[in-house]
Formats: sequence, structure tokens, C-alpha cells
Amino acid sequence: MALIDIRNLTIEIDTPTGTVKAVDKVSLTLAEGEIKALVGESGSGKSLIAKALLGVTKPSWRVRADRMRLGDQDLLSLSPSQRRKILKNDIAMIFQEPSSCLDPSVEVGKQIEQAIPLSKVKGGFWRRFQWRKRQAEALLHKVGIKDHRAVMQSFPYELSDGLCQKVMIAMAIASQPKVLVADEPTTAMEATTANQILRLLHKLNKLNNTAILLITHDVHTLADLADTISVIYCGHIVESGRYDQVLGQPYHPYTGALLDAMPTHNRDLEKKAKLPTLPGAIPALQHLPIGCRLGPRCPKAQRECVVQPQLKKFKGHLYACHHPNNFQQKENG
Amino acid sequence: MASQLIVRHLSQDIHVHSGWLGRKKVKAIDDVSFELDAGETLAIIGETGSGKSSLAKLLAGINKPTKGDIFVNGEALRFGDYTRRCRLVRMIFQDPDSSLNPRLPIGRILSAPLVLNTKMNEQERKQKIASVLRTVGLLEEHAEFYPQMLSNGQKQRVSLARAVILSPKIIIIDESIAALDISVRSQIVNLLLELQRNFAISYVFVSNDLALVRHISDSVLVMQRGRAVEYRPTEDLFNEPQHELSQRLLQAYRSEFRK
Repeated sequence: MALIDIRNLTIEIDTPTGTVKAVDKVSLTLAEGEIKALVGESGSGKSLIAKALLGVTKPSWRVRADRMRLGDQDLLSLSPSQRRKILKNDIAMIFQEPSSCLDPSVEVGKQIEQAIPLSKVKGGFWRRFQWRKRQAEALLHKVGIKDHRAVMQSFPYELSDGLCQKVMIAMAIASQPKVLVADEPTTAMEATTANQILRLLHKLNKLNNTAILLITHDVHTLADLADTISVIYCGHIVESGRYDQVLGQPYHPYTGALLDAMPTHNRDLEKKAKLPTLPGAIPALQHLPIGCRLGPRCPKAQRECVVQPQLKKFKGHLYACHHPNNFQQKENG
Repeated sequence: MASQLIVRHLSQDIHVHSGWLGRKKVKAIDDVSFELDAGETLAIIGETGSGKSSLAKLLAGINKPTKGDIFVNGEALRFGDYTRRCRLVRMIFQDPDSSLNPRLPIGRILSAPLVLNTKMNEQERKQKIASVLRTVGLLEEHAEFYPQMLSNGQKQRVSLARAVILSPKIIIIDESIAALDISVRSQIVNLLLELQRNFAISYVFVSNDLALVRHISDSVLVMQRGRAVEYRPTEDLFNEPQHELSQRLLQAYRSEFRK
């Protein structure tokens, strides 16, 4: 059974120029122990989905959904305080830019201790002394920091980006959540550090059976990690499927363009040759095109594309396109 | 013909406080030498804090080197001689949002280097700005726009226009491409390659993205704690890295830990 089940999530934002629909009818499911990657560029609404799931919304947002469940709990019908209680135990989030998400005026050790729930302590009251501190040390060891004393005594600005991210992960797994939402966990890190973080997430998934929702703009760094991939463009899910389906045989032209734009993917590309690319830029939310939102930039756009394509399913691989790539023979036959 | 850019034994010391009144000397850049031909690209890679950006700033003349020489077309560049240096070497910064003045329209931003460094009159400046905007794939009308009206990719194009407007020999690119979205990033990369082909500009490219480095660079300089630990043609380095750090970086880039 799906751990997270979101159906037709729509997020509207009030702006000075009127209401814009930032996320339009997005459905997501996340099974237990699954790693799902949500891939999209800036302005596609991928961070908004994560924030709506956690309930960290702003007053100017209007979030509607047909269904939003966590396990057997319906998140939409709960009051904010009940919802906080459930989310505290079951979902944790790792934010972008770890060094700016930690409190700069408090030592790292204290911040980790604050994140550890005292309700987990077993035994008599005398066990509570020093329990949190020992627990914090254990957490730091778990995320691969050996020198826990130095890290716990330092302030966030004294630590490198990779260390800050590990501390954030340690705080996130303190309450042993079922779901971890990682919002761009490795942007602006060099390859070696990013690799350590990805390995750590992989380990958490395998050892604790934590489901992970990875949010990223780069298909390639996370391709190895994810079980399923959903590609999102301007608030629409354009393609969704198992990682080998999406990476091996992308149906949607946008996914194809994202993959081709990376020099690693096209190994036969000549040195210093032009990279294949989509023309134009990502449209602003106020000026979205009608119909298929990729329409004006799409190389295969035709007359039907002014009608919004519905998500179609083929062998468990969802796509929303009137003229999919890699598909011709099957459609006729 | 000699190389376009020759850097010999470049070093920079910085002083940090240690203890009460003590000062300690730390070598930010330690004896780096390299050469770069016209129309070629040198990539600088390394971990955080290895001095990649410091080296870029030394080349651009933002920081003062303690020792060593920089030659462009055989002429030595002195620190502080900005009129000559900025006609030869230009830099594109990491974040276009903070390097473009939000209170000036694009036309004013682009005319500043022309006013300071050339004897063009207003009419000529306008023509030059229009032609440069067309070169980087924008429209002439964008000169009237303010930076916040443009998208991230367009802002990066404006930074690039500001760099090429004095027709420099060398452009230093400090991680400017990494923050862009993928579909926009490949457009900018294509633009850089096209400019290099047409005007024989050399690039010094500071980046963490090894796939991109492999695609566009001719030689690679690997840095560790201010020192250049490996300096070789790109394909050699990617096929058989010699130094332990380069091996580690490449391994991280190729990693396939699930399959």
C-alpha cells in the first residue's frame, strides 16, 4: 500500500498581478521503502509540492487536493496541530542550502539535541540525564561524522557545506521518520561531497527502509539512486515511470531534451560540438501557454498541442504528450 | 606565436590572525604556472577551499599577487593597471543577480565599460551595445530593460555581453554556469563555444561539473590547497589521472554505486 498518496494537488498563489496556478493537478504516490525523484527546472513547482505535503504553506497560497494521505491518515481533514503531530513523527525534510538553514547563533550540538524527541527515552527518569547528548553522538556517527566532539562544539559557519548537510540529515532522522523529503540535497557541492551525501541517503533507505522523495533539477546526479522518476514542467507532471524506463526510453520530448543536454549522456558527441537544446526559456507563471505547456519550445509541436494532453499509461510508464518520442511503431500496431 | 596567456610562479599569501596579536601567513595560491593558447579553454577543478576562485580573482586583477607574473600576448600585467587589463581580461561572476546593478537598465550597465575605456561617442556606444546584445542572442530592445525583468538565463547573457563588449582576449568564468537550469545551461554553453570559434577568445573556466569540463576544455588544472597538483590536456587527465586527488574526483564523477 502506498505510504504517501496525493491525487490532483493544485496550488494557487495570489500575486499582485492576479492568481497563478503554480501546480496543476499533480498526482504522486510513494510506496514504503521507495526512492522517488521529482525532476524539474526552476519554477516548475517541485519545491511547492514538498512544502504542501509538509504543510509549510504561506497565507497567500491556496492548496487543494482530492486526496492527500499518509498511510491510513487523511492529512486534509486534520487540524493544523494534529497534522503537526503526525508529521513530526513520520516525515522529515532536508532543505536546500544547509549552511543557511541551521541557526547561526547556536552550537550545532545543541541544535541536534533539540531535534531529538524526549518521548523516545526508555526506562526511568534518571536515564534522561545526558540521554539526548549520547543520542546526538550516535546520530552523528550514523551519518558518518567520526569526530563528533569538534562538530558539536562548532557553529554552522565553521563547518563545510558537506558537513552541514550531514548534520541536517542527522537532525532529520532523529525521530526515525518513514518518509524523508530531500529538497536539492547536493546542489552547489563538488562531486566527492555530493557522492558521500547520496551514499548516505542510499544507506538510510536500505537499512531503515525509509522512503525518500528526492527533489532535484539534475537528472544525472540522482539517476543512480532513484527507483522511480517523475519529470515535472511548469506545474504539470509530463512523464513518470521506473528509472530505466524514463532514462532509457523517454517518451516526452522534454525528458529527452533534459537528458540530451548533458554531455555525459551523449557519449558520441564530438568535443566542443554544440549541445542539443530546446529553444526559448521557461515561461513565467503569469504567462503560461495554453494547451501543452512545452508547446512553444517543443520541436515536435503540431496543431493538436493547443489542447492539454492527458496522462496516458503504457506498461506502467505515464506520459503526457500527443506525439511521444520512441513510440511510433507501437502506436500503429 | 607565443601563448596568449602565460602565468609564471604566481603566489598569493594571506595573513590570518592566530592567538592574541600573532599573525600567520597562509599560502592561498602557491607557485602556480600555466600557459593558454588563443581560442583554447583551461578548466580549473578542485575541492572547496582549494584556491580555484582565488586564482581566478588574481587573473582578473581583483586581488594582488605576492609573487609571480601574468603575461598576456607577451606583455606583463601589473596589479592596479585596470585600463589595460580590462581590455584584455574580463570576468563573469558566479551570481548574475548580485553582479548586475538592479537600479540601472541593461543599456547603462553595458555602456559603463565603454565610457571608461574607449573614446566612443554616444551614437557609437549605442550601436556597439546593440550589436553586442545581438551577438549574445538578445534583442536591441533589451537595452531598455532592468535586470529584474529578465530571466536567469538572460541575465547570464547580459553578463556575458558585458564581458565581450571590450573584445577581450581572455574571459574568466567562475562557476557561472552551474546554477542555471539544464535546458538554459546548454544554450549558454553553445553560445560560449560559438563566441570562442568566431573571436578566438580563450576561457579560464572554473567549475565542478566534470562532464562539462570534459566537453569544452582543452587542458585541466587540478588544484589542492593552493597548489596545482596536476596540469595536463583534458583527454589524458580523464583517461588516466595521475594524482590521487584527480583520481578521487573522477571516481566520484563516474560513480555508479547501485548497479
